[in-house]
Amino acid sequence: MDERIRRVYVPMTETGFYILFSLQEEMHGYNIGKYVSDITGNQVSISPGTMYGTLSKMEKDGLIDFIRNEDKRKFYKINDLGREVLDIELKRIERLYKNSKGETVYE
Amino acid sequence: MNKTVKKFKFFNIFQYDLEEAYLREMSQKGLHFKSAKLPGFYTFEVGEPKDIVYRLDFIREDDKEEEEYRNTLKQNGWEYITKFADFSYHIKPAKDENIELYSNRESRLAHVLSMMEKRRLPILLINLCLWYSAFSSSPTDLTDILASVVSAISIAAVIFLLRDYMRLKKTLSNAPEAL
Repeated sequence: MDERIRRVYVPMTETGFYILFSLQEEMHGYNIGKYVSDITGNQVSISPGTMYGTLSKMEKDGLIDFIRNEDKRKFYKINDLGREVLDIELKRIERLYKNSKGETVYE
Repeated sequence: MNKTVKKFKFFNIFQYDLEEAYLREMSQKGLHFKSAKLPGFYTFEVGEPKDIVYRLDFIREDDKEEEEYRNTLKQNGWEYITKFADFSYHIKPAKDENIELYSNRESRLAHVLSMMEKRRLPILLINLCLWYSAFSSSPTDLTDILASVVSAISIAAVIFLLRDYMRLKKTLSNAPEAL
């Protein structure tokens, strides 16, 4: 993985994490917003400007792929590099969670 | 055709948040923003007082991207009013849940930074050239004095802009994350 990608995306912002996490399934921006609201009990809402900007940036940085256009909505999906970043992030979050519960993490 | 009213109030690019607040205030008085033709000259339509939130978004350079973005906002319940100079204007009823275009600090600052990069840096460079040519000659005749006056005005303008830029950045950094 590129040094720049690592610096920008590890660790991720909460918004960035939820967007990349959602894109394990093919989705468009509006869908992602709704999905994130749903799974977080409306505790995380992503505004359209933030959503649009993050999707463009992730596409440009090669973490997600543009799949298709439908009714003026752009569908995206995570790719290999995005998957790699997401896995690092998931591991980090798991460690945080375990440590916060008083558990020690080995290797 | 409803009655319209024209008003003058000037905001620079880094005061767009103050402009948003001003337009909301006017709507609460029943004056709804319709268009602007010259900097600072607003046309309002007279109507019922309403609490409407205005959001200004820096126009994207790529037309296709801008259109795409406006569609995204529309799908999220934003109504597009008009565009003028650097910004597109969007509204939503204030009682709506999501009344921000940018929900996290990072994207808000990126928005402001894109303004700084795309519009003001070229102006700053032009100014530097201007100052250089003004100060490298001695003010002995009228044209040199004129050049000095122009430089003084442009220096003041840049200082004011920088001050507003710092203010905006501070305001946005202190704004709570929309969670």
